[in-house]
Amino acid sequence: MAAALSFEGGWLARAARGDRKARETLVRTYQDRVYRFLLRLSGNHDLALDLTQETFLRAFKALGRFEGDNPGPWLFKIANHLFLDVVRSKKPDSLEAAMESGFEPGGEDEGLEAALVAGDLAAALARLPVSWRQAVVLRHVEDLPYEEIAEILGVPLGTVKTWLYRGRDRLRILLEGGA
Amino acid sequence: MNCQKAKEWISEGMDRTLDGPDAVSLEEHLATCPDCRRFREGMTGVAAAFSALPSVSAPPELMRRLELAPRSRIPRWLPVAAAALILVGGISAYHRITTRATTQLSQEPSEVESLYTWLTATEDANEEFW
Repeated sequence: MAAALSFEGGWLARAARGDRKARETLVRTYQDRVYRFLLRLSGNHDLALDLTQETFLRAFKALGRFEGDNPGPWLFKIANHLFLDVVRSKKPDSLEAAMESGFEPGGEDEGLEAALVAGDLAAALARLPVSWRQAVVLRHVEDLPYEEIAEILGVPLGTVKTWLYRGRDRLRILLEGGA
Repeated sequence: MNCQKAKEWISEGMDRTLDGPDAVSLEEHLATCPDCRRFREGMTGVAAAFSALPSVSAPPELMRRLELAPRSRIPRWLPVAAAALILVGGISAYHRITTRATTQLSQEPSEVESLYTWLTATEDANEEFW
């Protein structure tokens, strides 16, 4: 379960004022989760890295307006908006093709079976409608509760449940070799 | 319970523990419905596929791109000192070159002077000839 990290002692305020150390702490705390989220959404390392960079740059600019002590969902929301911008700027067919061809299995020590499963899953994820994919990735990759997923995606809880059900069902069919 | 409702609960059961009458109703339905049992096995396979995903970390390049990579240990004054050293060396070298050129010019006759001497000598010779 991904723990909600709290920034006590004015870390966020210092990061908002441009404090280098505070910004570094913010990035080090959330970079893996934001990058992983974008990688699983897009299936493309380069795109995920570009969007992760842009997510933090935008967060630095907007930190002064952020209220609260858990920037996790807020960062995911920024990342999600950036990903949607990419989706909207490309033709659906070309994005899907790029995502299917762009998947690169992870480290060298990764088992062949795990790589194949990861490749199958990435290809199947790429074929989901974006909203279903977002819900499924936030739930299964980031292990977020319904409430946070609803906040990030800006939809009611019932919609999150529906998207999760439909997304999982489609993945089930695709992973079982269905169309 | 119908199959549609059972499948929705199977999905929800992946995120929270179903308890009480909900769980009992679902188990009773599954006991008599092979289609929903296959659906549950398939959903378990989806969850297993996510669990088998390799762990992923952000590339180290990200910190550099955000200009948050560890700073160089080179002292801040070192580039200034290096620039000053180059400037002093350049001025010194320029001074030495110009001094040497001036000295050579004062010691050796210039081409104009040589030409003037030759012309003068030629004119004298011409006068003597005529």
